[in-house]
Amino acid sequence: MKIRTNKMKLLLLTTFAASMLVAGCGNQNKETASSESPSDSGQATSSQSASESTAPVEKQKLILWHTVTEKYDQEWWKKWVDEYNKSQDNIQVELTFIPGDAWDQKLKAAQATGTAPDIYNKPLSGVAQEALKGTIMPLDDYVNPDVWNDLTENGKKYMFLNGKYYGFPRYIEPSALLLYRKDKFAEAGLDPEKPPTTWDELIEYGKKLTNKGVFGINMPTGEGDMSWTTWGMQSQLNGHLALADDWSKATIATDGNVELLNFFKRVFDEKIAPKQAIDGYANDKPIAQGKVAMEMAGSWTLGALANEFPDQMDKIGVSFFPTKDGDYKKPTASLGGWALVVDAKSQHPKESAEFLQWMFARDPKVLADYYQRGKYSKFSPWKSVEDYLIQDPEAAKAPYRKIIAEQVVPYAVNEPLYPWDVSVAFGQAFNRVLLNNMDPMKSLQQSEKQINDFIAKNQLAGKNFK
Amino acid sequence: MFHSGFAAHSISLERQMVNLRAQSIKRKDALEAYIMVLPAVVLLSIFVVVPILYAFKISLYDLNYYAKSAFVGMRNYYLVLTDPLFKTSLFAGFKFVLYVIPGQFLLSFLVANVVKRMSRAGGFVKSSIYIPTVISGIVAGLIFMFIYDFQGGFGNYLLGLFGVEPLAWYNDTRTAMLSIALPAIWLGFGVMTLIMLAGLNDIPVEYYEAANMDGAGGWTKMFRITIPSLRNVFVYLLVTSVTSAFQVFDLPFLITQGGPLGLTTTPNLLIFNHFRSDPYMGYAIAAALVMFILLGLLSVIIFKVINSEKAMD
Repeated sequence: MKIRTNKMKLLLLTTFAASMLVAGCGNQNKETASSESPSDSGQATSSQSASESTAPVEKQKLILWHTVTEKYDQEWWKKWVDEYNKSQDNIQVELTFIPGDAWDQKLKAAQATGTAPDIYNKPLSGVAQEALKGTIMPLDDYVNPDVWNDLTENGKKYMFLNGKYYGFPRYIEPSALLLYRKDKFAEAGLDPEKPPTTWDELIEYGKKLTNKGVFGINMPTGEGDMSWTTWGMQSQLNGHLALADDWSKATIATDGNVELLNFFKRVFDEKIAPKQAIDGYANDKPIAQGKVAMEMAGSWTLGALANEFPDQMDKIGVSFFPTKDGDYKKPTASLGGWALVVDAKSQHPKESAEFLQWMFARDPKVLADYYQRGKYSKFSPWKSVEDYLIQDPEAAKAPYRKIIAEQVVPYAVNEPLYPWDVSVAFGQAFNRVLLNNMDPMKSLQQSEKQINDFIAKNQLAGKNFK
Repeated sequence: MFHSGFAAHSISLERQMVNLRAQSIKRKDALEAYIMVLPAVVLLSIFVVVPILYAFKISLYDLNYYAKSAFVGMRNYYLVLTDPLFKTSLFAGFKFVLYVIPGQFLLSFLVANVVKRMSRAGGFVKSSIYIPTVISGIVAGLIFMFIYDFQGGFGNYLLGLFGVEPLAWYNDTRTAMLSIALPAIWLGFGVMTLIMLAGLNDIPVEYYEAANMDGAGGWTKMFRITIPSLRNVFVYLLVTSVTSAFQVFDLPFLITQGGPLGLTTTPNLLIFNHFRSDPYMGYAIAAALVMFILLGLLSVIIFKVINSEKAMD
């Protein structure tokens, strides 16, 4: 009796322990499978490509990860990835959309286990840091050199790093524009066709437009946003950004930056801007809903507005973001955007490069389709696509495209390639002035010291890109 | 003589057999006990002990997934301990604990005492205060962000009723820490209240009856009976809530992004930021292990401080 009970106990325990281990391992597999397609669109794609890949088994699989973007962007991707998969029998591209806030963890975890995707998207200015770290592959060996000749000057500067090309840019767009509500202007007695062009005008207009429940202008708040949205203005006032050319020291304690900080302080002191940006920087909702009469925004805001609030579009005016003297022939914005890169450990660099060339360097119609869906709010880093769009009659009709193309893009600067920590330190200079009432020059000097310490600790001097 | 010798021999033999049986039962019991503990030990080893030892090992390298990781010895720890931002984050962690724990303790204690006296409504109250516990930090953070909205948020609406200017709740150096402490208090006080309530119910009624007979007033009973009896509950709650508050990540990540000016960058958020953007993982791992040691020390200190008081009885 006793022996039997003991044996039973032993049997039960071993079964229990075994089942726990199996459950643990089994769950892991299930987790990775389900986390591969978190969004509905992602699942639709992978099930679609799964059915396609049951046909020719010899198709080489390529894993493509992309951040979750606007709906129209995701639809563009799905359409053209499907087209590519159907157009040939060698390569099957599997596309997964991953939310931006889970991106770093997923990618790092995948890199740690050697299961990183073959291709993924990266902000243009972030490609340089990845190239430095050696996490992405130079593509010169797999791409016809003529392809790169089609890049515009700005595009080339982002992709051609230390003598090699590292990715395919998809679009560029200015990060800082002035958007305004023409109807609110008219209500306040201002000319709806004459947006403010100088700092003084901006503040004057802001005061007239600020009423109960409506703010004159939505400005970036928070040190992260204030630092990158003003790259254009920083360049405008100083002729350079935060680091010396050879990245050996910080160069932000300048009169130009003191002017910049004082301008921001004036805007907030006059109470024409909410101290906490409504819905964050460059969101289309506050201006569409009339909570603010003007907005410092990026050109993607126009794409979002055109897609989400199309009936408000005729009320929205666009201009360059005001400069001190009203002259727009200087940098008022930086040009940001995204590119596609190939992982350094990818087993299929040749196939990845083939796919990317098919998408971006074969037929301008492909990328042009994307710009059309975004209602022409984005600009092309490829010359042939830009030429194609000039022919497009719809592009000519987009009211703001002309203004941005003439007044902003030609004078805009590329985003800096140095690490983000430098920009955050600069952003903190803003906050010390705005929140702690510190003297601007002192605040900038404190940030300079922070940046110089960072440069020393990370041995950044000389690591600038040539 | 032979007979008695044999008897003595057989008695000692019996005793030996009894001893042997007792030993074998003990051994069998011990074996059973080890088998019972085996699953937990195996799982803990695989998922906790081995990773921590591995983490200590790789913290001595410049961990990199794309090139050979170089051995750097204690350099990562040196970088962490000399980093002014790490020290600021520890300070932010302590500040957060000071904002959250006393408030939570007081609130929970008061509510627990009130609920103890409720008979019918008590059940409903107990379930409803528990609801925030099952809400994730991210959801709570989002709810509070609506409250903190500058224009039209409930927070500024309330202030407006008193004629106070609208506040930039999470973008103001004065209120940023408060803006993440409020959701934290709301999330945690349900569990704390229920545990305190359990502790209160454990206090023998006779103590209060005896105190009443001696003519003790309300405050005396509170400070001489209730609070000392709850000492073990307090220790448990303090240790768990302080270590978990110190490690808060989701609230500052969502609401303030660690700003303004790094005032709400708690240690875990700092480690996460390094994990996200650093080329090599060394700093993040070393910082995490330093936190592990720090929190262990903190728990030991809390134990010692509370237990060093004279025992109740």
